[in-house]
Amino acid sequence: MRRAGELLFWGAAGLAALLALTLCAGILVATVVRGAGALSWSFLARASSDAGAGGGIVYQLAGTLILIATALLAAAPPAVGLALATTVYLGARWAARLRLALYVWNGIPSVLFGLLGLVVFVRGLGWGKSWLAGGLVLGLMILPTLTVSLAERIAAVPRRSIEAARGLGLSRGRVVRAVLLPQSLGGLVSGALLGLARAAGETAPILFTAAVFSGATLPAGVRESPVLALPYHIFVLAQDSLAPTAASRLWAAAFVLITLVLGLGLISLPLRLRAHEEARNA
Amino acid sequence: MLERFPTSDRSKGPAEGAGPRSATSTDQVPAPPAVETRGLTVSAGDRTILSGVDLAVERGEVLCLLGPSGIGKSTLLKCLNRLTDLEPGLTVRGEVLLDGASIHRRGVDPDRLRSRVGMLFQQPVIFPASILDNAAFGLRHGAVRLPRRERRARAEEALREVGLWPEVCDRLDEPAATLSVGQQQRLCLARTLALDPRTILMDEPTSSLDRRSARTIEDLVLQLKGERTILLVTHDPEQARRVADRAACVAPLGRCVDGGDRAAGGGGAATISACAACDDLLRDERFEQILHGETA
Repeated sequence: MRRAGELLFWGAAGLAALLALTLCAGILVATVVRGAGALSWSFLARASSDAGAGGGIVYQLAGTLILIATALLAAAPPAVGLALATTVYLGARWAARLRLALYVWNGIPSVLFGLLGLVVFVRGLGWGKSWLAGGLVLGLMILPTLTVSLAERIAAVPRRSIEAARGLGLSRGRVVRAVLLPQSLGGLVSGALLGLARAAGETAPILFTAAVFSGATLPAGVRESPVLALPYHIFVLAQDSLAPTAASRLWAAAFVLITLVLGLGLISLPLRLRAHEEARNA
Repeated sequence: MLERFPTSDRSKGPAEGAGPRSATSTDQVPAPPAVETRGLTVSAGDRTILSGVDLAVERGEVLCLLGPSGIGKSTLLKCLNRLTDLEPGLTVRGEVLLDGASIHRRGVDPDRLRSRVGMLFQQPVIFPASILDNAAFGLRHGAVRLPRRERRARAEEALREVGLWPEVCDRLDEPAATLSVGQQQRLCLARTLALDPRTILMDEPTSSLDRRSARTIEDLVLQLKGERTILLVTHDPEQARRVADRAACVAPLGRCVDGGDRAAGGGGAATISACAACDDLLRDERFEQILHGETA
């Protein structure tokens, strides 16, 4: 009976894993098959022509990288502060309230972040459409993901490590700097990856705040400095383009976007593995 | 140089058995105990963990704290370097004096205090860093920080002091996690010694080690005896016999570990018994039976 239960559990777990892998592989294969014809070095390296139907995504790629880098830079410092507040500095009651607020925050639809950015940055501060407004809005969106991921890792640091550090005369602040944050780095990286993967694919927030379909290259300032972005490019090609070549171009752009997200994961993999290993050995 | 925990004027006399670190004196006033508690009571909410503990440990002495598991021995140790301050819900009353000066008096920085009262835990706690960085951890991040070169010299000296140097001198930059558990515990002791503490608290430091590694730690305790004051919690009677100058028993209130009545009281809180029976424990044939037999 017990063995049957175990087999059932393993079967269910294996099936779920297989389903997830199949879906992932299916999306990748479909994207490659449909977009392979359009993929080339010139597709990646030159500016788009014929309203995207002629290929070329270099500025869309650059714009997307600018947006997610800005989002990461904007979100990481407050994420560290919030994670430390929930795990180290606040009492249990306030920490629980803050965690609840973060979960609610994470559930806010992305379009509302776009509207917030429109009201505050685009109109309120008078930036117009700007890469900075888009990056900040995306940063606000991914902030809870980064915070929760980091906070979970901080909470998982063994209590004896903290006690040993305090026993050596480290103040609470030094324990944070020398013990908690170094041992929780993997959490920040994981959270950043999850958040950036979401941010890289979002269209709604940047639609209101940062992205245009054409007519932009690299930003030269903050005000009225929109960027091109891959998700918005794909969205417009899918919705509005009647050109026969648009389909393969948009699939090729989608493949580049997926590769970007996976690439981020692969680049950070050694760092995450090292952080996990160090935390395990501590 | 690291500052030592400030001592009162009365503490300037040379302590018996103390090494070169003792100051000289011109008067005949005996030095105060290195560690002293007076009426130390610790409670968590309604529950009293330790009650009215009076304890005095002379300089350079090794005192073994004995008693059943969960009685409050570790809590007692943590009171001596104010690690109990970090435990929410714990209330500490009474006095704790190091070299005659209260550790709770105004102006005492608990972080500075902890850097001078070393502590070794049951399991070695290494940080995810190199062997050298672990040895120098307190000197780099603690209350008293040293420049890099001095830090390295002190850390190497501490590694030599615990006999780890020959084993690690050619791989100081390797992760400390690559060391065996016994080596890790010696590394933790080196990390503590690098701060040059006058008093070291050891909370069952050999309980997670094999016999050989445990003996190495015991040899180090014997080596440090006379120079540093050591309070050692142990459940191993043989170990206590080998290393301790004296034993004190943490036992339920109103009873000594030998089961005899010592004082009126109750409530399950523990106190230190300073009776002759406890002091003679190291030579008592019933030692093991008393230790594991359950004090009630």
